[in-house]
Amino acid sequence: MSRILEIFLGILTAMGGFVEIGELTFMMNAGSLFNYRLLWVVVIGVVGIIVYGEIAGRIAAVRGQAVFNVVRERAGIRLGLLTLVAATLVCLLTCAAEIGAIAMLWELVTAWPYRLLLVLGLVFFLLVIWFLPFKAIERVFGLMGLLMTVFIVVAWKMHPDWSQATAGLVPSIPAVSSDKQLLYAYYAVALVSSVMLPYETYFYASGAIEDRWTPRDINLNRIIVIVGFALGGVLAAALMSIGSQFLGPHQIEAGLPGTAGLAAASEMGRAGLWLALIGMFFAFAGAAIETAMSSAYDVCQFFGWRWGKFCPPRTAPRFVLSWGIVLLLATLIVMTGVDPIKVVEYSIIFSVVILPLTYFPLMAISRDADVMGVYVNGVVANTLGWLYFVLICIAAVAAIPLLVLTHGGQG
Amino acid sequence: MADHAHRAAWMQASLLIASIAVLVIVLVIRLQRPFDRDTLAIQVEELQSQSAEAALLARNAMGDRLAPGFVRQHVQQLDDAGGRVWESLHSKPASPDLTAALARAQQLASTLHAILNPWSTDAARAAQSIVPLDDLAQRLAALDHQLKPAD
Repeated sequence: MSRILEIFLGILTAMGGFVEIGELTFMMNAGSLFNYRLLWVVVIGVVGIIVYGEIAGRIAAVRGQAVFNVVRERAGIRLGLLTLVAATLVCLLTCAAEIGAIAMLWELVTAWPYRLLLVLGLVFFLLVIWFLPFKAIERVFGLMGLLMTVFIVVAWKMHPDWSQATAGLVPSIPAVSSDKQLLYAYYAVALVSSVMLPYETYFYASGAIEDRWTPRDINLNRIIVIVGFALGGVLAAALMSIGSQFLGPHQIEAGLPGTAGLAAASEMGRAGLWLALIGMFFAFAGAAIETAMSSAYDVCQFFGWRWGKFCPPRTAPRFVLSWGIVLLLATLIVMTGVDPIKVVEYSIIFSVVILPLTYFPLMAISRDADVMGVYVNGVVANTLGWLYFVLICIAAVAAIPLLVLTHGGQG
Repeated sequence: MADHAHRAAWMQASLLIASIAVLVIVLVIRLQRPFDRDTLAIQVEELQSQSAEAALLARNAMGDRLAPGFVRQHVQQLDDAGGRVWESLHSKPASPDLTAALARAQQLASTLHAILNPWSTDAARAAQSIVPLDDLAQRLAALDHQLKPAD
């Protein structure tokens, strides 16, 4: 019975923690600009995160190693250090964007000054990570993030065009101007990256070790990533549908968290507005915590320092210092007045550049029978893993040129 | 071995810093250039989006689907975002053939602020904002079309 409950909670937590501010804005804007035409990218991204999430969780369960233990072991100090620096920068930018977005949400409710809310947000996150055990952090923010399912209801009530949505599952290039086609390609890359954000894998694998997974938990891992992330994908698709139905006809670009709240209110009134605002708060807060902790996990794993929430802070001071510094720097970044949504757009594009560096070591170790024993990759994991590796390499090469050619994804 | 790794680490750090520096220089150069059709259209599209969203917000506020506090603050955030576009439009010139279009965009950005600013302190102004916002969104869409007819 407790096993079933664990699976159930794991699935819900994975789903509730799936969407953050970058994914929310990219999905809604993709829907607004291209209707359902990019839905196939969501499917590709979701399968990708399932594939690599399963591999990372399996390695953690079998070998007790998280992603940056593996990166250090397989990529070596040279490439490994580059990956670490890039991953930490991307996590920092994403964390900054989440903290900024939370301050904007709080501003909508309290009308307090934005910068004061940023400071309060910093204090809130420091207290949460310091005092709450790992399981509580994971469950509270994951499960409360499920309030984001209000967007699935909203999308449903907006009566999606099912024939267009079905057609969107098939990859296609729209017959539009060459500028718009570039923008379409930019969004395709950005959507894959926003669904497969690397910090999700870092946090998931580190969490498996925090939760003391063993090979007994391999099926639990499989069920959580497949069902949890697939349901998260449904939520992402719902956001795209809202973009198409609600924003597209008015040529609105979602540039503020309140835009999503407005969409929810338009169908479900004030109840929908509050559910959306609270759901977004927990989803963004969960992502801020995950990015801050992921940075600390990565650094400590790479350098072989003691890490984990299960360690009393005085026995893992570098771990505590790392997440504290990331939260502080992230707050300082948004304190400058930079638009959090712009920050997350850039962090998502830079994320795709480091995806191959993160996933190659995972593939190398997970297919090594000497290391993984009977838990080595099967045919499906190997085939999909390498297929996705090629795909993310192409996306990584295309990302920066597309960013420049589309004026930062603006057209 | 340690020396080797140390050298490699410095090499990587230098490469990373150099790449970031190149990206920043490219971005700064691009940002300093006068507005061309593409970059001016981006600003106009942002204003159009903000006007259309504000009109939608006003309609939903009239339908009593939104808390008044949320409306005021969301309008304030839209006004701030519009203010950033206004600043951007006044930060540099346009290429000679686009001087009139830039002036028009600046004027429409000011109009947006003139509608949103009083509304952000008085939620009751939603009703009287709908028509001017719809009109503004249309004028901005027309200017965008004039800048980029192919879209």
